[in-house]
Amino acid sequence: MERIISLRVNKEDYKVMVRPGESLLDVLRNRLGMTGTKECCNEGDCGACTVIMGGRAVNACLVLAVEAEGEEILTVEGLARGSALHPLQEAFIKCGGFQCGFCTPGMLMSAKALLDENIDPTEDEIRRGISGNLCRCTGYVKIIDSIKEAASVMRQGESDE
Amino acid sequence: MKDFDFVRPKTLDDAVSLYKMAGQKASLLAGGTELINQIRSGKAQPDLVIDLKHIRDLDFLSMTPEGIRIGALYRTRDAELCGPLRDSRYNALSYASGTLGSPQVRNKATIVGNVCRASPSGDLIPPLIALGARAKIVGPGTSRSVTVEEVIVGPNRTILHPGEVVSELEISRMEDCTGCSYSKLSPRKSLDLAIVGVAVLLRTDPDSRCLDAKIVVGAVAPTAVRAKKAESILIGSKFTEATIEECSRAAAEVSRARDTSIRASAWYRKKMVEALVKRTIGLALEQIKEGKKRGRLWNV
Repeated sequence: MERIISLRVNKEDYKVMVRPGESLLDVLRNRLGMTGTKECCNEGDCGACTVIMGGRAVNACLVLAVEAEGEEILTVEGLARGSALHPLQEAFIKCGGFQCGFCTPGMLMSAKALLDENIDPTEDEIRRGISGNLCRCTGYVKIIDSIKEAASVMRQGESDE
Repeated sequence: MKDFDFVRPKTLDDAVSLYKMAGQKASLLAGGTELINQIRSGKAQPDLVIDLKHIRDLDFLSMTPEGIRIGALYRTRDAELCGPLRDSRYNALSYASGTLGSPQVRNKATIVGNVCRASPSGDLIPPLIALGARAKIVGPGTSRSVTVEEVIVGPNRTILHPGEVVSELEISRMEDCTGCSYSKLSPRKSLDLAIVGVAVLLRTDPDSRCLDAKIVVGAVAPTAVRAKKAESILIGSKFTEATIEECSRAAAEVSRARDTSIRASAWYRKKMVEALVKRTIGLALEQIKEGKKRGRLWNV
């Protein structure tokens, strides 16, 4: 029961052969080779596989690839512009927002979805924004600092334009 | 994962007839946050998955002076963030939605899906029962309206037949001097199921005497349950500390939690029902005050 579907990932269109039972996560990692999105609990409890679909942060493990057909999907690979990292990525480096790095792609995508909605979040809003992402190293404080820093840089960028 | 066919009907009629034809071998997909896990674990083995998400006119929330209607595709994240809903007398639904899963889960999970999944700890079920919500059930050439309380008959079990789709939930207008609140107890603030979930709806006369009470307790029995004895203790009384204490103790009696659960002991859950009912009565009374204060500004 394989079928060919069109997926739009990071503004590029892909034709890919999938079984209906394959998750978006499986297809991103195994069929499209985009391993930036991490596989961890595989049941929607950890947020490591967070991607943005139709403007909303979702767990790629809880999306069937066939369900994602026709949706605009953004993964961590789509954050940078060429060699220029996204302000969130820069801020995570500057503030030490990661240690082992495994939760980072998911954190970045949750943070991106948050800042897309609200460029000036309070600390509470940031905590809530990443409440679906588990990190077992940092204790979250530096992740929150990173998101604050990125928000401030992005606001600055907006006011310069 | 077992293989299955996947279809995306564009109308409710098409979904109903596809579902009717495939019968028990088909599963409906709205948010999918439960179904996909069930398929992956083998608990669900459908031959056909019917994705309802392209029946676009099911994604709505309608708020009028007559009450509110929630479409089958309306997501918990939307309810959590919807300004008019948060500002309305029905805001227990926004709050309960915001306690479910995580932002990522809420971005997919629907309110109607929470009802149809019929998990004992479903966060939307107690407030919906307290608010007297009714499910509009559309089948092949049929349509019926059943209270959420009656729709759910056991863990993961509802009265729905293959071919029947809940197209929306309807809640009649909450009268003035009525407040409804939901409280959830879980070890973590996010990504966790309720150990106990309690919804309380109260209506008072101008003298603050209780005219009506609904107390619904989730996660302590195979389904969310009404604590009817506790309700009857409140009705007709003033909200004195002694009455509230007595009511909370009576509510704890509905707990049928078992010690085999890994998430909390039966004793603890029962104690927590008592504590949460007490707390939630207070919150519902606050809601009534808030409604009086805002008068016409209390959205719809």
